[in-house]
Amino acid sequence: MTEFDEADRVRRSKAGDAQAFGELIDAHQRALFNVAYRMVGNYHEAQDLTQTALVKAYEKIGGFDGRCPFFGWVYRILVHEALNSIARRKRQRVLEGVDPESAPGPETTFGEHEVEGIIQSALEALNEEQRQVIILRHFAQLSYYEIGETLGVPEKTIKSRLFTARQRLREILVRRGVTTP
Amino acid sequence: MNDRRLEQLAQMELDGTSTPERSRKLQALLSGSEEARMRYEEIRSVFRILDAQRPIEPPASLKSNVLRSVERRRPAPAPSGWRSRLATTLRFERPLGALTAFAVGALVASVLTVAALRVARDGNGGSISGTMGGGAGALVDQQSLELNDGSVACAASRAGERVVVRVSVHSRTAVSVALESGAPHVRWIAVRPLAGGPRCTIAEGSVEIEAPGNAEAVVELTAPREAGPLQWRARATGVSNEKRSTLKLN
Repeated sequence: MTEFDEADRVRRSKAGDAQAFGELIDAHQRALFNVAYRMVGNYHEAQDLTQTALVKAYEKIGGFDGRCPFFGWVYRILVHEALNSIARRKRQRVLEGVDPESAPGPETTFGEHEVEGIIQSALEALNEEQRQVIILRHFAQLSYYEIGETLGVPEKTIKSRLFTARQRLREILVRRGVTTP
Repeated sequence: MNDRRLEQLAQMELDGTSTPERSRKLQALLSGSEEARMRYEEIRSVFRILDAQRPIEPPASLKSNVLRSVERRRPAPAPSGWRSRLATTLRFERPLGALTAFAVGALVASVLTVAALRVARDGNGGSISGTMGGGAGALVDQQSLELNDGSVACAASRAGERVVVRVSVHSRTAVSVALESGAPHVRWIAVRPLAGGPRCTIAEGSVEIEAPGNAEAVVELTAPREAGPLQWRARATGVSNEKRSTLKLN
């Protein structure tokens, strides 16, 4: 979808055209869903979060001024929802008497592949900035420029964060025996 | 061996964002050291593992669930009143007072008058180029092609890895323009019409612009600083032979 097409669909969505909003969903749902899944590690929870973020985006679209790409704007709504969900999950584990730090890694209802589970828990071991750039680059498959626009930081900063995040991921994966030193 | 330097070069190579110069430096490091080669394999294994995690398809019901929810809701209403609309158009935070709105309106009218006079003085059969800004960074190269009933010009500007190419068509008949790059690490981001209603599309490795006559479009791409030139061509509709040129990106 070109910038022009997207601006037209945003304009029509603001006017209440649900079909136009549907076309925006078509363009971005895959990337958004993959971001949500990689943040929470659960397929159904990722579905709920993506749906919630898109509904909130529709409600708030009157305030979207187009200064950043539409994906970047919805992405920030989604991350906010995902972080709230993760925090609720941790509080729930505390209430249930489970130490959140020692709890087993996130369940995956998709794939059941052992390496995927290790990747997912390795992502959760990164700090928030590192996790976001890895997810956006390797799972949402955005360019450095697009990641910079989404996060509102220069490309140089994105490169630096990716460099450090990949180093950190390698250390974790070596420690867990997924890759050899 | 500088570990950090090797890691940087390796990550750029595996990420598809390296340049020919950096690739050569990496190869020199790898060919000279077994330790470097082992380190590179370790880094490559991480990329392989990450890339093996294929994007997951969202559930088929996701879109319909969202649309069902939004049917029951409406987006926040657009601002009402001409002063609020003017404020929104000009991106002011709050609706304008009457005096401020008059002043802003007068300023806008003045700018439009000056722009119209500049276009009128440019007696080039209705050319519409030169009055709209939007290039990114420093101008790198400009090229033009003469066609039977007009011409096409491309101008490339660069800021970091981001390149903006402005395509200007001056023609009484329809024109097709295509831009291509076979260079690695060049990625098309977007193409958008600016004036004249051209139809713009991004296909695999190329951008195509179909202009009905005079028209302008902007193409955005990312390209490393040492990327080779773009190949571009233009053809008047109904004419079999096309003109070709190159546009430097550095």
